[in-house]
Amino acid sequence: MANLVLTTACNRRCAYCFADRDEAAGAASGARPGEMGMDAALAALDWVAASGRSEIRLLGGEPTLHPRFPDILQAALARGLDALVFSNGLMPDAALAALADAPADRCRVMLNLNVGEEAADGDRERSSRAAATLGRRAFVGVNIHRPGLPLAEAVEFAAAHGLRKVVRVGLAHPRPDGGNRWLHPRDYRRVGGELELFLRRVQPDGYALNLDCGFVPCMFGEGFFEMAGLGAAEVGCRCGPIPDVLPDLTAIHCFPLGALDQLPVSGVGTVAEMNGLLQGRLRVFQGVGVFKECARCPLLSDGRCRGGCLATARLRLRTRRAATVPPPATATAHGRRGAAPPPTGCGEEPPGAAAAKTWSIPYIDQPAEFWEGLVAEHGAALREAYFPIGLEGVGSGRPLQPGRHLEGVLRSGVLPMAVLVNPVVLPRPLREIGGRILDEVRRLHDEYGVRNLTVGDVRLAERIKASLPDVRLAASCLQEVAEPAQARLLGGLFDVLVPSTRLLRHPGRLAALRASFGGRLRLIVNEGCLDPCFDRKQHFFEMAGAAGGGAPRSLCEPRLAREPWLRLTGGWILPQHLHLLDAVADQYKLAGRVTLGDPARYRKVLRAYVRRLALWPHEIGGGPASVLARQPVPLEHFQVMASCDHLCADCGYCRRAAACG
Amino acid sequence: MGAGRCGAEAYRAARGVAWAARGDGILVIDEVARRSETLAYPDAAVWDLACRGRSCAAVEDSLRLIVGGDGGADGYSVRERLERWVEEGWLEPAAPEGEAR
Repeated sequence: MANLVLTTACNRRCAYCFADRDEAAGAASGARPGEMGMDAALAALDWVAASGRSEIRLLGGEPTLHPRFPDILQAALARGLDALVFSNGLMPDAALAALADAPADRCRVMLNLNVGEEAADGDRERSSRAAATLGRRAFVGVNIHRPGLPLAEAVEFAAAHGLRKVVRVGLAHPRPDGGNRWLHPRDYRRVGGELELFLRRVQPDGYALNLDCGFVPCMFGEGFFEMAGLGAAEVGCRCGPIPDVLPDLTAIHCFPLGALDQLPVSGVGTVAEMNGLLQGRLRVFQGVGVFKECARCPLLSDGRCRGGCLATARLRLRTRRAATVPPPATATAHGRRGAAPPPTGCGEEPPGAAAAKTWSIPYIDQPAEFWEGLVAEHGAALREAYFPIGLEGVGSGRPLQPGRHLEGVLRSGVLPMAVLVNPVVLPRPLREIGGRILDEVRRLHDEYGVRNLTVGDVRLAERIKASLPDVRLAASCLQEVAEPAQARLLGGLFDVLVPSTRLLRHPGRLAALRASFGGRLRLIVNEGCLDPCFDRKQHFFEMAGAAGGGAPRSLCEPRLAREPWLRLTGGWILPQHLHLLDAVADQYKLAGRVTLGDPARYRKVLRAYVRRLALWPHEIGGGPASVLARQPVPLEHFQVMASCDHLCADCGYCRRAAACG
Repeated sequence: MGAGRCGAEAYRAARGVAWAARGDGILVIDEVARRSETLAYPDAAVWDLACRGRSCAAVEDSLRLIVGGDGGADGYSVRERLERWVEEGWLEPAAPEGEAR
């Protein structure tokens, strides 16, 4: 088959559209800009037919807007080519009549729907009329550009108009200019879970899914493949060359990769030869993968996956222009009080990489509506909400937390969920308790699509990964990883490292840790543990035995009572100063399921950190050595601490700062 | 570090060269010539640091910090590695750190 782009004109403006709208792009003579001339169309059809192909796909823009669309359709059928037309349903009467008159077994129409969006006046009626006219000739298609699309609308539309029971699903891929809305790979697993649920609901009514290019097997659970009757390779190897022949009779890989190569059809004998040429030009990019982990994935090495959409994967490439990182903050000499830093007022959003960072946030027991509100406010900045596994002493070392709404939130799929499996010490030997933990992890994985885990025990993590290879593991901060050598040992197993919170004010050590680990670094930003404290695990251990879930008491309390200035040395950073860590952090995490238990306060703290709004230190929640009173902490404080040697006995800087506050 | 000490010289990726971190190192691609090279550790770390604008000496220091001791296997020279990449057209000389870029 081959794709003929008849026109770049379209009567809809879909935010996710990845078709090239450059209407000046080479129209053949006699045609309007962006429109394939009739001679060119016939030449292209001859070329496809002579190549021994049996199907031609007509697309655009909106292909039916081509004034000679009925003639082109007839010409294709006359050459023995079956036709598949990609339309938005808003087609002229003549085009609709031509499609309705074509033999039903040789002409199909995919009606692309924008589910979840209000249609413009009259558009709904027009697409309904086209669907009703085409009936079994047509089926619906949906482009997924964000998680949470109401896919059921597509089936309702198909059922209402007696369309074929097939739903073609495509992922929205990025245009070369980045000007469209597209699905980021971080949302793939979530979308995979949604598609699995969707298929489970509609399959009993006879509906099937037809997946377009760019899907990766790891976005789905094992159950999906069996249910869909697909092998992993059928999902993961769909990025094959089907040349798009443009109005000027040049061929490209596809629209998202259109800028890479554009070859004239005239010099190439057959469609297969063109595919070979284009494929050869792309080979060098095929090792990139949409995820960093693709390179070591067995699905890629054994040929069951090509690493997803190359256009998406190419966005992971850095070039010399984009590689420049912001210079590190200028550190003030240790112990010297310099000029006052520029104030950061409430509501002010400092420039920086805020938008690029994502957040892991603690689950607090609120209904799905609460989380929907957070997602609506922060969108893709929310990476996941984490909750402890429901096994006493295993989830976080704390007592079990309230979980009345947890199942509803898990079922809602409102945001990706991550489970904590980070016991301070396993309550029983791994050989005795490992099976139970694994059963629960598998249940969460299979029933709710939970694939992100934070794990505090390396042997347990190895067991989980061996059993569920598609999960993404984060090494818990309770592993207290602070040395590059430790990080290097975890690199092959864990995707994310949450280093010891004691390192938060050591950007140099964090940078070394990150380079050594090779994966992503997730920093906890609001946990007020003391830099030199080695009792943190003991603290958690004691909390596990405490009744109720109130604010923790701490081994450091007597010391803090004597020397309250130590609270200024804790492992926390204010949201307005977070840019100091952007160069060494890939992701951030909010701690404090206990102390942020108040939903209103939770919202406020989260908003402040995501948007970099100013907070007082006593407002950020966190751990046992948090600042308790309103205390001004200027940017300079963190700059000093980022460069000091943390030998507080020799220094009066924080003492003086506390006294001045 | 091995032979070939580093100074303030700095490098940047050549025009048309792009790279991506992967689980097994860094994949460097020449988008014009359509050639690629996979860099494993410690080459990957050197590439990453050099392309962030660090001078050869700074790369050497960072590598020492990361791996400890002398900074890696015997005979490994940051400078030689960087110069080889220049020869092969992956990198080109750039203004040293601190100068206008």
